[in-house]
Amino acid sequence: MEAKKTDLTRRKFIASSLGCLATAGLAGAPAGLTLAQDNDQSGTTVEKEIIYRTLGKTGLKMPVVSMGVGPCNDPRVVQACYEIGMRHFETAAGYAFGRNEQILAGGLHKLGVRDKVFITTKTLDAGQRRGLTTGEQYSKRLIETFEGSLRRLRTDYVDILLIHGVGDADTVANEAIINTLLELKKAGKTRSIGISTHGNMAAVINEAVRVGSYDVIQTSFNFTLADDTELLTAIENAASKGIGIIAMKTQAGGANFPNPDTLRQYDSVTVNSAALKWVLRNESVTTSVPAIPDYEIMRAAFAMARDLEYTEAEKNFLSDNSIKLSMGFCRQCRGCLATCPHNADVPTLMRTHMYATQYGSLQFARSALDEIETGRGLQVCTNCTECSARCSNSVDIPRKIEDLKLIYS
Amino acid sequence: MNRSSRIIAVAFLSALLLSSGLSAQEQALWGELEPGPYPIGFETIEKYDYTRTFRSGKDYFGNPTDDQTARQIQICIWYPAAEPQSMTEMVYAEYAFPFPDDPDFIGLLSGLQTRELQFMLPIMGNDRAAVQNAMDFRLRAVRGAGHQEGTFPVIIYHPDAGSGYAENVVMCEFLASHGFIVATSPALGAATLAVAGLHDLEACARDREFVAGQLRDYPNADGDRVGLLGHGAGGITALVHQMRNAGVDAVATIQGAYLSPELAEVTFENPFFRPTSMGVPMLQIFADLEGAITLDVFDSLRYCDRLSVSLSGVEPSELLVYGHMSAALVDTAGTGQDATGHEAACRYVANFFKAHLVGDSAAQAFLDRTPEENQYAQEFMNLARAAGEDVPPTAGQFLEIIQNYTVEQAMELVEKFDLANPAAPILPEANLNALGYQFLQRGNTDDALPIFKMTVNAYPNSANAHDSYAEACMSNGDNEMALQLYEKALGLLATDSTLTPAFREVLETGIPDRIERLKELISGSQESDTEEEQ
Repeated sequence: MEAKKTDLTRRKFIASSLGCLATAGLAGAPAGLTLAQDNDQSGTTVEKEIIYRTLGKTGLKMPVVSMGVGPCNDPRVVQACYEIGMRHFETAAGYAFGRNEQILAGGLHKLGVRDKVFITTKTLDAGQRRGLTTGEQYSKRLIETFEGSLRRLRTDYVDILLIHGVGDADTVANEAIINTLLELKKAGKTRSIGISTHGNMAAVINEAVRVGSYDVIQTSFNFTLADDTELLTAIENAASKGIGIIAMKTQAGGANFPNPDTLRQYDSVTVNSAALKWVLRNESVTTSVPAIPDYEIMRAAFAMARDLEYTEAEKNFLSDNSIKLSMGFCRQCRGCLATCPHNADVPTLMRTHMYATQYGSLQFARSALDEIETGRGLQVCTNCTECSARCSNSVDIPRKIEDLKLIYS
Repeated sequence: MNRSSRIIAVAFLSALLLSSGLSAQEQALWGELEPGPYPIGFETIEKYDYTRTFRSGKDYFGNPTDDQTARQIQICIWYPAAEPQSMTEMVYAEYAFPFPDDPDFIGLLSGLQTRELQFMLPIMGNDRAAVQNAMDFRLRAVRGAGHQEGTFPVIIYHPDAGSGYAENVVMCEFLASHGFIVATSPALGAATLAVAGLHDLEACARDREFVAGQLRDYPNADGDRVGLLGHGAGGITALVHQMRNAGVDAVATIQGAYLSPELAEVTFENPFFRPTSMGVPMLQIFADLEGAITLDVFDSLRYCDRLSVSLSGVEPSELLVYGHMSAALVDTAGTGQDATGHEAACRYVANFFKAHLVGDSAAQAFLDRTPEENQYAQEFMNLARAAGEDVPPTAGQFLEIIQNYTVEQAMELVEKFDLANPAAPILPEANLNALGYQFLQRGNTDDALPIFKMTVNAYPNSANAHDSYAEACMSNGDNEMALQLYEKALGLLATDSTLTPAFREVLETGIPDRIERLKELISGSQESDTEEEQ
C-alpha cells in the first residue's frame, strides 16, 4: 500500500485567514518599497534588498519577517532562518514547557551569532499569572520565569522581554510587573520590555501607551481585522509614540483553511503571501513573527521580506469580500461573552480551536485551554446541549465548540 | 498600589536582584539538603545502540518512515565538577528536556518530555500552571562544567517506567556533590515509549547496562566501584542488572515496584531474576502503603546484607523531587505534599553508597544508627536489617571449584549449601555426570566417586545417575555397592521419564548384563574367600 502523499504547502504554511480588505489597503505600495525581483536594463534578474525597519524607540533594526519559533522543533531550521537573512527570533517560556527556548538556543549557539540577532521571549502567561495577588508575588514569579528563560536560551540577556498574552488593562498597568520589567532592563537582562496581546487588543495597546513604560507591543494583526478601526488607530497611535509594533497571527489562523470550498479558486501561495503582505504594508508594523516549523515555510515567508508589492492574484484575493465570512477568524473582541448563559470563556476556546485545527498544534491548544479560569472552560460546554453563543463577525461558535468537544472528549 | 506599597515592592525587587543576580529562589528543590564538597557538572552524550532497534523504520504497510531504527540512548551524567558554581545552574525544564547535541534525538526527547509532564500532572494536583511554574526551578548542576581531578565511583540510576530520570534530579545532583559520577538514560520500552511488560523491562535493563559500559571510558570514572540505584520499575531492572553483572558492588532502590504484589510476581517470572546471583549490600527505601506492600522479593534476596527503610505518612511521589516541588508550589498546587521523605531518601542513599563504594566509616555509622539518632521520629521511619547469608555457588562456579580446587572443598560446599537437596538440586544432572566421568576416565576414582554419589542424592529417581555411580563403584572394586546401585537403576528404568528411547534401550540391555557379571564376581569372590578360610 502506498503512503498517502500530503500537500505540504497547503497543509503547513501560515494558512491565511482571508477576509475583507480595506479598499485603501490596496492602493499602491507604501513609499520606499520596490519589487522583489526586477529586470535591470540589461534584462538580468536582480534580487531585491531585504526590507529592514526599526522597532520604535528601541532602535533595533530588523527585517520585516522574523521567525516565530513556537512550532519549530529542529535547531537546524533556526540556523537556516539565520542563513536566509532573518535576524529576529521570537519564542516564549511557555512554549513546550521551555523546550522551544532550548531549540532556539541550540540553533543560535552553534552559529555563534548571539550578538548579530535579536531574541524575543515572552513570559508570565495567563497560567503563570493565575493565583498571584500581591505585587511581591508578581515580581517573584516574573523573575523566576525569566531566569529560567535565560538559562534555557543560554544567554545573559534578551533583546525584547514581553509579558505573554495580556488581555486586560489591569495587567498592563500592574505596577509590580512594570517595576520588575524596568529593573530587569536596568540590570541589562533585557534591552527592551513590552507586552503581547491577542485579545481585547485595542484597549490593551491604548493602556500600554498611557502607562508609558513599554517599548514594544506584539499584537494579533491580520487582514480579517481590516475593518477594526479602533485597533488600526491604536496601533498607529502606539507606533507614533515610539512603541515598536510586532505583528503576530498574521495569517489569521494556521495550516488548514476552515472552508476550503470558498478558497478553492485561490492557490495557497497567493493566500499566504497576500495575508502577510497586507500586514507588512502597514508601516506602523516593524516586523512579523509568522510561525515557522520547517524550511519550506521559512522560504515562503521570507520571500515577503524582499517584496511587499501585491500581485494581481493577491489583489483579487484580498478584494474578495466573501472570503472573510468563510474564514471564521476570532478577533477576540469578547462580544460573544454575553451570549453564553454559562459564562464560558468563548474567546479563548475559539483561540484553542484555531491552534488545534488550523495550526495543527495540540500543544498550543492545550496551553490556551490552561489559561481559562476554572469553571469557564470546555467542561461547561460539555454539560450544555445547545450552544447559544453567537459572534457578530460570523464566527461559527457552536460548530467550533462541537469540534473541541470531539477533540477533548 | 499605593505609594508605600510601591516602595516596598521596589525594595523587595532590588533585594532580589542585588542579592544573587537574578536568583529569586535558591534551589528550592533541594530544601534542607546540604550539598557535598564538590560542585556539580552535568552533560549528555547521545549514543546509538546498533545491536538493537527501537522503531522499525517501516509503517504497518511496510512503507518506510523517517524513524531512526537504531536504538537511541541519551546518556545523562552528573559528575563532581572543578569550576566554582556560577550563574548558569540548570533549571528543571532543562532536565525535562535535556537538549541534545545530536538534533536527531529531539523527536525522541520531545516525546519523553510530554510523558514526563503527563506524569507530573496528577502529582501537582492536575494544575498545568503549577507544572509550568515547576519548570523554572533552579537546581545546582552546571551543564558542561569542568571535571574535578581524581577518580570517582559510578552509580547507574534506573528510573521508573513511566517517567524520565528528572523525577530524581536532586538525588542525582546530591550524589555527584558527594563524589559520585551518576549516569542514567530515560526509560524506554522495547519499541515504544511505554514500559509495560517484561520485554520492556528487559530493554530498560539493557539500556542501563549499555550506559554502564559507556561509563568505563568516561573521564575520572572508576569502573571498578559501581553502584545501582533504581526507582519504581527501575528497582526491578537494577536488581536484574546486578544479578547478571558481578562487577556491581551495591544496590539501592526507592519504592521498588517489586513491592507491589502484582509486580512481585512479574519479578519472580523474570528469567534473569536470580537471588543466588546477588550477594552485595542492598538498601531499600519505601513509603509504607499499608496492605499494598509485599516484601517477598526483598526477603528472597537473602544473600545480601539488607537495610530496609520504611517511611510512614508519606506518598511514594514524596520520596522523589516532586516532594520538594509540590511543597514549594503548595500555594498554587495545593497538594499538601512535603519534602521530608525526599530528603531522607537522599541522605540514606548517599550514605549507603559512601559506606559501600568508598568505605566511609562515618557513612556506615549513619546507617548503623537508629532513626531517632539520625533525627527522624520513630513514627516516621522504621529500619529493618538482615545479614546476608553466604552465597551458594552457581552451577558453573561449582563445576569450576571441582576442576580448579579439590573435590573435597567442593563437597564441603555441597554440604554447607545442601546443593544436592533433591527438593531443589542446584546442579544439572548431565553436567555432574559428565564431570564424574572426566575423573573416572582419567583413572581418578577417588574424585569421581563423591561426584557420582552427590548426583544420586540430588537425582534419586534417575536410572542413569545410579548406573553411573555403580560403574564408578565397580571400577573401584566395590562390587557389592555397584550391584546394589545397578539393581536400583534397573528398578528405576520403568518410571524414569527423562530418558530418551535410545538411551533407555542401552540401559535396559546393559544393566542386566552388568548385574549378572557382578553377581558372578561376588559369588566367585565369596568362594575364593571360603577356600582361603578352609
